[in-house]
Amino acid sequence: MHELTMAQELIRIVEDEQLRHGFEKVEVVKIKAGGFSGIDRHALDFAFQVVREGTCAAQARLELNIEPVKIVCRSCGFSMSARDAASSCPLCKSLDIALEGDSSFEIVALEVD
Amino acid sequence: MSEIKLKKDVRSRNQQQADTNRRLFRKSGLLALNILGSPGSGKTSLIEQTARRLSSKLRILVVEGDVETERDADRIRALGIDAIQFQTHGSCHLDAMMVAQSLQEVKLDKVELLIIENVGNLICPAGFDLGEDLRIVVGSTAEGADKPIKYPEMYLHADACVLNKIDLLPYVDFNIEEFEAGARQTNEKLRLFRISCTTGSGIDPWCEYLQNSYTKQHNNMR
Repeated sequence: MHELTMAQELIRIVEDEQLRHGFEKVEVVKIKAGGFSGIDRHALDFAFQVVREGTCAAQARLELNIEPVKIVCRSCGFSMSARDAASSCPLCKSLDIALEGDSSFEIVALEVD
Repeated sequence: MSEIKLKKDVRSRNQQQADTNRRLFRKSGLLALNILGSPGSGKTSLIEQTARRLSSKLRILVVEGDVETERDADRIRALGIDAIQFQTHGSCHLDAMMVAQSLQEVKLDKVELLIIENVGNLICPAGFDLGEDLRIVVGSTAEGADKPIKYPEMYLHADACVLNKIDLLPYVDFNIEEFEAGARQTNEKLRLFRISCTTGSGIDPWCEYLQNSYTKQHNNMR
């Protein structure tokens, strides 16, 4: 449940922005996460619903965009989504494959009133 | 309704504290390890074995992160090694603030090897930099060989992976090549060690790696 820590940080950032911009409430919090961010969508939603109570984001919705992890073949360069988990390259059958993704987790925008 | 564009790393508060921790560690010339892995993989046993071998050469301090109890710190203290127990009381990972808090009263210039054992968990601790110099993932042959590809975040930013319990290989269905290939899929640069904390096999090369890393770190400081 590290998502709870993340949700608390989200609220902290939102409240900082409220001080800076003076908006009344937040409608949408837009987040971009890398495929290796280790964030579970449902756990984050649940945690956010708990910590947003009594803040300017009490009604806010999370818009979470997770970039999928890619499998890339180090031999022939073929690349595919890691959702179709494979232990070898489907094209050249090489076992030398790599998982590519990043672990970023960023607020990219707030829709506010 | 209006939109405010941001580019804010949600982990930035942790990152700032981790950077502060790292600066402090650098200043005192110590080598800091963050030991990660699932419960029962042998993280504390690895620290015990490491402490036994290296305590005559390096001054060691161990920080034990656990959800509850002092048990792990007691195991380390029984070897005559200083240990601090940090209880997270529910939190599934250590963060940089917790590490700073547990080291508040410590004179770091007296420490040469700082070993931080994270909460046993293959997911949550991966996202939190503690300020360590080396991130070590401990796995064991009693777990599945597919763990690295199932939990890639854990291996992504690790410097070394220690596979423990190799003495059990004749008794368990564990493909060591599959495990190591999986670990390298996410992280090509990963240093791999095969050890047994029970028989002591493979502990020497692991300790050599730590000693060399310490020497490199210490020389860099000068």
